Amino acid sequence: MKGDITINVIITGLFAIGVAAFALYLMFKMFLEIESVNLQAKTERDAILLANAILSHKNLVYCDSNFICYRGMLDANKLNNTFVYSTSGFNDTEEFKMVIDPNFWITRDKLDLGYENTIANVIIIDLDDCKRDRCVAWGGSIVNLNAWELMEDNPIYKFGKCLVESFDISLGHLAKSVGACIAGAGLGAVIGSVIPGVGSALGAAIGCGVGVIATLWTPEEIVNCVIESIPEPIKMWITTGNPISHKGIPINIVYDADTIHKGRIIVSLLELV
Amino acid sequence: MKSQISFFDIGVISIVLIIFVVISIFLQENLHIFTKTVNVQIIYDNNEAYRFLVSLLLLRYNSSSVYESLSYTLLESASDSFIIFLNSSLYYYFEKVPKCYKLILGSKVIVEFKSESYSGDCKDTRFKAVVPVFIPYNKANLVERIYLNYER
Repeated sequence: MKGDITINVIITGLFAIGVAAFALYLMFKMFLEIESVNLQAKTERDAILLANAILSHKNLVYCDSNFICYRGMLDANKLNNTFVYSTSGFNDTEEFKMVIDPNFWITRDKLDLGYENTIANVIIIDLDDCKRDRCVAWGGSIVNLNAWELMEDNPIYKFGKCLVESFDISLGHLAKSVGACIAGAGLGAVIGSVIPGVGSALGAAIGCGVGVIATLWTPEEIVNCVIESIPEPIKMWITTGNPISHKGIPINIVYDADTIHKGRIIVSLLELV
Repeated sequence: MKSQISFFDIGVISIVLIIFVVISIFLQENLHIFTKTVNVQIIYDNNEAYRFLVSLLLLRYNSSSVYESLSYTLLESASDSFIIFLNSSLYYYFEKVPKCYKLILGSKVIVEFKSESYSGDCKDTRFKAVVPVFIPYNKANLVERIYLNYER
C-alpha cells in the first residue's frame, strides 16, 4: 500500500543520511584544514611560579619558636645571609652592580631554586623603611647556565628539529610531492629548453626538486616551527611588549616577632632560550 | 521480494565506500582547498588577592595582629587610626594604584577605595580572595569570612 514503511524505505533513508554525513565529513575534514598557531609567554608563567616558590623557601621564611614557618613572611636575618643589602633600593650604581656581578650570584647552597639557562633577578623591598622614596632592599641574581643545553636549544637547531618532527610521511603527502615534482619538472623542462646552456633535462631536474621542496611542509607548519624556535625573550616581547617578566608579589618582612614590615618581592626573569 | 536489498543499492554503497577509501588514503592532502589558521596567544596572570589578604592579616597593629584586631571590628566599630592603617597598608602593597579595592568582614565594609575612573561597586571583581576568621564572643556566628576584592 502507498505510504507503507518497508525495509527498503528505511534503508534508502539511512543511505541518504549516510550520504549527507559523508558530504559534511568531506567538507569539514578534507576541504577545510584547520591549523592552530600557539604563542605563549612562558617566561611570564615561570616568573609567577618562581616568585611564589621563593616566598615559601625554608632558607628565607620566618619560623617562630615552635618551628612553625610562615609562607610569605620573609626573615630579615635570612635575607641578609642570602642577598645583597641596600639602603637605597639599589638606586646606587655600585650597589646594583653587586646584584648582577657573577661574584655575588646566589649559589645553590643558599637558594636551590631557579630554571636552567635563565637569569632571575630577585629584589625584595621593605615598603615601611623608606627615605625620600628610596627603600631598604635586598637583591640577588639566580643564574643557572648549561652550555650544552644553550647550544642544543639554539633557534636554528630547534627550527630544524621542529621541521623534521612535523614532516608528513603519509601516502597523501607522497602523492602531493610526486604531483608537484611532475608539474615542476614539466615547467622546468620548458624553461630549461628556452635558456641556452641549461637544457630541458637539467631544467626538469631543478623543477622537480623545487616542486618537492615546496610541498614538504605547509606554510602553517613552517610558521609553527618559526614560532616554536623563537627565543623566549623575543616571544615575551611580542606578547607583552617587554623581554623580561617582572612579577611583584606582596610579602611581609619580619625583623622580630613584633616588628613586621610590608614588603614586595619582584622577580625579573630572562630566559635565554 | 520487498524486504531484500537490490543489487543496485549494494553497488551504489560499494562505489561510495571505495571512493571514500581512495580519497581518504591518497587524496586527502590535495583536497585541502581552504585553510583556516587559528592564532592562540596565551598570556599568564595570577590572582594575588589571597597573598594580599594573608600578608595584611599577618601585619602587626598596636601589639596585636591585624587578624586579631579585625575580628573585634565586627562587635565594635573600628577606630579611625586602624582604618587608616588598613587603607595605607593595602594601598602600599599594590605596585600600581588599583582601580578599586574593598575589604569586607561578613557583610560589613571595612575599607574601600575607588579611583576616579572606576564606576563599579568593586564587588564582582577579577581578583578576589576570602579567608575565614574566628570572632570570639560572637555567639551568633563564631566564624566569619573576610573578603578582599580588587581590580587592577
